[in-house]
Amino acid sequence: MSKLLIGLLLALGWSALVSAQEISNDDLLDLMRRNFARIEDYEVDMEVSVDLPVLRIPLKKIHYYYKAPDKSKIEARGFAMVPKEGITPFVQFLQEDSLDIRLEGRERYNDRDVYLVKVNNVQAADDSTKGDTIDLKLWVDVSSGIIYKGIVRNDDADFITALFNYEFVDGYVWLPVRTELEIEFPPEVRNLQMLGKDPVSAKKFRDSIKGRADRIRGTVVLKFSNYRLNRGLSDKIFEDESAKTAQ
Amino acid sequence: MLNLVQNEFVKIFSVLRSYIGFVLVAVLMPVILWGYGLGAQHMTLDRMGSELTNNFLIVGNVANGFTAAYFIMNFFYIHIPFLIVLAGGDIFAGESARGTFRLYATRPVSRPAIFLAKVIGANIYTILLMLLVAVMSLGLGVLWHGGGDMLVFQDGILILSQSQAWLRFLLAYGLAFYNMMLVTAVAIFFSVIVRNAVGPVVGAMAVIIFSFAITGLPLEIFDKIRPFIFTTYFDTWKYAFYEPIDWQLIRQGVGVVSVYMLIFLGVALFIFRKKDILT
Repeated sequence: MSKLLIGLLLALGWSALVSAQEISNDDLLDLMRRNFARIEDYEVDMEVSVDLPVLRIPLKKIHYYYKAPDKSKIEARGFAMVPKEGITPFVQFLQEDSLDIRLEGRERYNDRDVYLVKVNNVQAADDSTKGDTIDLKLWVDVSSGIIYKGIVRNDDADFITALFNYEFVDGYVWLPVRTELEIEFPPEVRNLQMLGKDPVSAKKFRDSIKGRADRIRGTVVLKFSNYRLNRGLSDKIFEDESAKTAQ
Repeated sequence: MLNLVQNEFVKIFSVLRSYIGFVLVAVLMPVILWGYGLGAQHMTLDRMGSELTNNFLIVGNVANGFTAAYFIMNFFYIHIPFLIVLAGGDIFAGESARGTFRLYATRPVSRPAIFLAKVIGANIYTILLMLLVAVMSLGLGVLWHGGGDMLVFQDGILILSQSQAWLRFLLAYGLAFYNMMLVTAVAIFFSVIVRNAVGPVVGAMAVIIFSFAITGLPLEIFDKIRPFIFTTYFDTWKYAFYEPIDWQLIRQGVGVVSVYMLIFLGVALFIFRKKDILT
């Protein structure tokens, strides 16, 4: 028992030591913000495929514009849905002034040194969540500060797991070339599958999901190409209606 | 045969009630499309659910002519049979009621030829009505609300691209027309066995209402007989919008409808050939 206690204390002490030695919270936040802060504007072509059990959108080509600090716009022929966390890896969340950020340790992730970072009580990005907060767990590259993996947690459950692959655009900034998001929804979302069913099929469906508490899981994949970085995008691009929709 | 069919066609459209369906479609569709335009975007996003919309940036919309026509098909396929039977129900019984059959049957034309001409004539009426539905819902819908990606229900929400939508609608209207041919066959069957013009219409409607009730009521007692009721397959057109298209279910639906069509028309022909025409 005493050995166990000593071991536990040593582990805690080591963890605290590592945190203290590695990097301060402010420096960590600076590191994570640094990469994206180099960007004045960019545009990129994207392919999005949404494969959720309750929502399927075949491969969709879209064009994305961004201008610092907070202008963005998506252009698509027809209808498109793009996960908010997929395009700019958690950048929006990291802009907040008072973040409850904590270094949890350092580890190897896909042969790279990463900081394991927890960000607690982040204000959700939109008004629709009525002031709900989320927690983030991020795998952050030790030298570049880019995020390779992120888990968004809400209501005691992980609901987005995001994996990011990057390219070093123009030898200047890291931007994603492929983002894969595994998104989980609460069981109630399964009710969307009732849409359009006749009464008989609806009853069979209701019977089949009765008592099921498992969450619904699906995948969204975004592929990026043709980055055009810091070309001086005009503000006019962001002024039309679709820009408002996309922001 | 062409002359016979032409005669039947003239006779169908010389009866005022044959126009009821056309007038209803021509008036109702613009009203639905107008209402759709007022609340479609709100309705579409509501159906997607806040859990989905909160986590996504949404660009463009699916509230367009294709989605409107899809919604119209979803409710109209149950009601359109009642418009179809108006012509089919009258095609034999109307002649009996007017007393023109005896004269018609004395011409050197075989009864199967008369029967075939009437079946073709009634089905031309059906296809014209279906074409009007297509033009007034899809055509007018796209003109009014524009094109774009369409929203479909398939175990949740499926978005189909505009390029896919046209072909899917072509297939869906084709399947819907084929199902309505069965309704026409039911009406013709009653029209052959009854001598007044109202009886076949009411009879065919009664059969269709009864069948729809068995098909649509979620009662376990009907589970075993439901697969044998023809109205169970009247929504086969929905599978045209599935991704991928569910050809298996379409084949099954078309097969059952074909069998019923052959039975109704076969029995009707048999009765018509043996029938003493006394009016």
